[in-house]
This record gives sequence, C-alpha cells and structure tokens, in this order.
Amino acid sequence: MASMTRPEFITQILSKIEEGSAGAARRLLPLVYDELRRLARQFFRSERQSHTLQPTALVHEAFLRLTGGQKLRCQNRYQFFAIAAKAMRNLLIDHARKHQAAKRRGDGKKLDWRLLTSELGTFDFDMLQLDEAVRRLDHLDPRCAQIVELRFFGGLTWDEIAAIQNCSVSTIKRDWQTARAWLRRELHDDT
Amino acid sequence: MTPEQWQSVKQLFQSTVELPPQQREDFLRQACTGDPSMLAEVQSLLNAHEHVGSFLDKPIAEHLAPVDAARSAQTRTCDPDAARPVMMELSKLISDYEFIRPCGEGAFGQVWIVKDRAGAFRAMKIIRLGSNPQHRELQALEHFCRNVPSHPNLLSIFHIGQVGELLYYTMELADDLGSRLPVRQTLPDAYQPMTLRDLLEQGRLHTDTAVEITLRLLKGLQSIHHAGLVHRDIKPANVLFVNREVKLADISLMSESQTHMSLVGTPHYMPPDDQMDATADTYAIAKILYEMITGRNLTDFPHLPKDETISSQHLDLGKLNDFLIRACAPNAKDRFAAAAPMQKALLDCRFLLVDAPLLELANEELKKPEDTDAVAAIRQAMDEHTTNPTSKRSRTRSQGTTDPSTAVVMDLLDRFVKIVPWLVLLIIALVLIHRLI
Repeated sequence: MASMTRPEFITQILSKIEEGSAGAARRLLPLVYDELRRLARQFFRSERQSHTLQPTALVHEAFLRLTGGQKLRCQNRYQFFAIAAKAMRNLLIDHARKHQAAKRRGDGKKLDWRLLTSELGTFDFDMLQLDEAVRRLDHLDPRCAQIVELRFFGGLTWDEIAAIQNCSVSTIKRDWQTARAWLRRELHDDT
Repeated sequence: MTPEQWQSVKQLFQSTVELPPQQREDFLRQACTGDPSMLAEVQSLLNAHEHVGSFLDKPIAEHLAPVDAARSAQTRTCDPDAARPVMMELSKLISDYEFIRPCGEGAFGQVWIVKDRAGAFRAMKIIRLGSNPQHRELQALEHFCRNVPSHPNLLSIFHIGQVGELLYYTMELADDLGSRLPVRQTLPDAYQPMTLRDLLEQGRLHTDTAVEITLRLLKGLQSIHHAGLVHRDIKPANVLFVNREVKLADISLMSESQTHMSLVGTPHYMPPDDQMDATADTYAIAKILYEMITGRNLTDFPHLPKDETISSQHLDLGKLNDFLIRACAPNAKDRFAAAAPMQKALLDCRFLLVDAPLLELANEELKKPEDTDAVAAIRQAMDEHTTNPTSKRSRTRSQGTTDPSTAVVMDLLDRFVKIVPWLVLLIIALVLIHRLI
C-alpha cells in the first residue's frame, strides 16, 4: 500500500480525473480514505494531543501527505478536496455505524476512537440519519448534496467549494441555506 | 417529489427567504395560488429554516477543535489559584521539594517548577501511573537513564522517584523566556520556559545560528542513537535553552529503535512514510532547521522565502539546500540513517575558513571520538613540541637532522641494514640446496 500512495501516483490519478476518466476517482477514494483514517486516528486517539495542529486541517493535511507537498494545478487540488470530503464522510459514517453496532452488542467501551464516541456525541442528531438524508437530497439535487459534503464533511471554504462547482460564492451560499433547511426538516420532523 | 418539482420549490424558497419575515406569507400565498402542496412544502422549509440554529453551521472537524484549544490554553497559563489544593497535596506526598507552581500540562502528566533542598530550581514532571506498571513514560525513563550517557545537549534528569501511583522526576529548568537568563536566585514572576518554539514565534534565525543549533542538537541526538534508542518526538517545543545552551528534551516517546510502535509524534515533524526509526529523528531535525532558516510554515517546505535572502559567509548554501532535501526525503532509505552521518554532512556544508589559525583546525579534527588513542598520541607529541622544545631538539640532533620525514627514512634504512646479512645467508643457502639437488 505504501508504494501505491506515492505522490506521483496520486498526481497521475488526479490528472486522469481531469481528463474525464470516471474510474480514476473511484481508485483514489480508498487511498484518501485510508490516509484520512490514519491521520484521524493519530490526531484523536494519540495520547499526546498536538497543540499545534488544527483538526480542521485534516483534509488539507491528507492532501499534503498524499501529494508529498508538490505543486499541483489548481483544478487538481480542488478535485482532490472534493474526493477527500467524500472520503471524510465515508469515514465518519462508517465509524458511526460501527459505534452503533458496538453499542447494540454492549461492548461500546472497546471502540477507543474518540472522534465519534465523545465529541460527536454532542450533536443533537444521528450521524447515520444525516447520511441517509444527504443521500435522498442527492437524488433530488446533486449539487446541494455535494455542497453539504464539501462544507460539513470536508470543511472546505466557500471559495474552494465555488471553484469545485464552478459557480459564484453567493449561489453556493443560497443553495447551502436551502440544503440546511431541507436537512433540518428531514432530521427533526417534530418542528 | 421529482427533481423538477424540487427545482421550483427551491427557487420559491430562495426568493421568499430573502424577503423580510412579515412579507413572506403574502408573497408565498400569491405565488402558490392553486398549488397547496407546493405551499405546504415551502412553508415547512421556511419553518425549518427558522429553527435551523447552529445545525450544521460549522464543518464537522471544527466541532472537535475547542477540545484541543482548551487543552493547549491550559498548558500555557496554569492558574496558580486553581493549583493550590493540588500543590498542598503534592507537597505532602513529595516532601523533599518545595512546589512553586505548575508550568505545563501534557497528556501524560503535569510539569511543576520546584525547589530542591539546596535551593536550586528544577522542573518536575509528575505522572499518574495508575494500575499500569508498564507505563510508557517509565519505560522511556529506564531506556534513557540506563543507556544514554549525560550530554551537554540533552536535558539532564536528576532524580526519579515514586510515591504510590505517582511517578516523578526532576530535570534542569529552562532559562526564562522574557529575560533569556538562567533561573538562579529567584524565579521571575512571568517565568515561561524558553523553547525553540517561542524563539521561532519571534521570527526566523540567522542561518549560521540555525546551523549551529542544529549541529548541537545532532550531537545530543547522536548519543541517543548510539545507545540504540530513538527520540520520536523532536520538535521546536521540545528544544529548550538551559544556561544558554541548547538541549533536546522530553523523552516520553523514546524507545528502542527496533520497537515497532504505533504512530506517535507530531505531524509536520513526522516523515510522510511514518517510519518512526532513527531516520524520523533526522527528518524532524531537518524540518526544524528549515523552519529556523526560513521562518516559514512547514507546509511550505521546500520553498524558500521569495522576497528575503538567506545569506551566510560561512556556509555553502547550495550544499545546505541539498542537505535539507536529502534529510527530508519522503523515503526512509534516502534520508540520513542516524545523527552521526547527518552531522558530518552538515559540517561539510561549511566553507573552509582559510584565515582560521591552523592549530584550531587541527584540534577540531582531533575531537573525533573514534580514534582517541591516536588523538592522545598526537596531542602528546604536540605538547612535547610546544612545551618542551629542548628535549625534542636534543633528540633530533642525535639523528643528525631536523626534518621528521628524513628521520623516518633513516629509521627504515637502519632496519633494512640489520636484515641484509640474513638475506645474503638465505640466498646462499637456497643456491647450495639447488646445486645439491
């Protein structure tokens, strides 16, 4: 695996995506997923929390590690962020699912990854339900769903999202506002 | 709902939500005349929008950030009032020391400033071992104290003790950051330990200074590597200044180089291939050098400042650049295998100082530890030459020459002359034997 994640390899895949090869993105996703999982584990489980690190930088950090910090064309960079956001979402959801399964089995203590067991416990909605709702939104409005993915799961800035979707920041923000309201309604039927 | 229907719902929602709240209802009713399902849909979205609050407002990762920020704030500013009850408790348990105040808190334990019986200020780290006799910190201490000889560039550990579940050890106290002076008689009120991290926050360093600091750190690291150990957590925050000397600190993650360890350390100072062996230490040192020279964020590596120039009269900057690139190579096999070869390579980046006194250069050469016997012999010879010229002269006079190289030739000739008769005898014997056969 280590030899597969060479920066050149990543760059190669990224340029293939740019050429329009749909399979290329699918090949990159597991690599980014693994990298994020490794990083996340290191950030959140490590007994020694680094004070210099911003957890928001997770996706950027994964990007740096996978590409070896070499210069990439802007478009490649954004493509990577988009994939990284998707990987991040998969990562979080997979973990939430495992956590739930562990809770059902009654051995919740065995999951020592703090990312979801404690900090994310403060959310007043269920991560898996959110994922389901985003899936439904994807059928209805793929662009809105991608904004949720990039913003909430990927932590990207408005400018970055606008560059990925190739439209203005104000359009993105309007769509985001709509997506938020829609998801809020889906997750909180009582209100 | 079909995607097409959704598009019109979305459009209507977006134009409604931009209106002042009191106008929304009328506008909506007008727009949805004859389409009650559309009206209900947009109304429920508006309702959800009203209640959206902090829902999804920040990226998921930012929800994790405050935990970290709170922890780091605690490290820098330990509240003395809050610490008082703990201090009383500790004073009772560890009665040999006077507890002054807390100085930092890591994930493993607390660091306190203490005064020992002789009145000297020390830093004391206190770790709650819990029920784990194989605590990582304890193992690291054992490795370090048993195997690594004391070195001026490694933070010294003075005393290790245990009271119940508490493990504690005292170390040298870093100089005061504000005054940059060692702490002797009194502890300054605003005392903060002086680390390389603090220094870097004030700006970048001169290239020569940066290289000098790196060379000294490598010397300290060399004695760790010679003992078959790896530091694994080299970063500017773990580089302290004590008595104006630079010292590598924090042995918490130290372990034997063969030990396979889970990923530990600090991002940016860890190699991308996650090989946490001696090459990870050399990688981290090189990253620190880059940071010191350029004053730039490590994510910029290997870019150099554009507007500013890096200059040095004593260093070949081209070589220094190659050195950094090699030391930070992404593959472990391309990096420096240990501190010693890295130190040599960095020394090779220096220009030859033509104007330096020759004797000093010679002394520098003699300091290599591996040929101490030869060094002692040459030193003795030099001492003889400088302090006792008469004896030297008398010896050379007896040989009839003042040139040492001639003396060597004479010596060889002397030996040769001695064996000539035996050689002649041997040849005669061989000839005789040949004739007889």
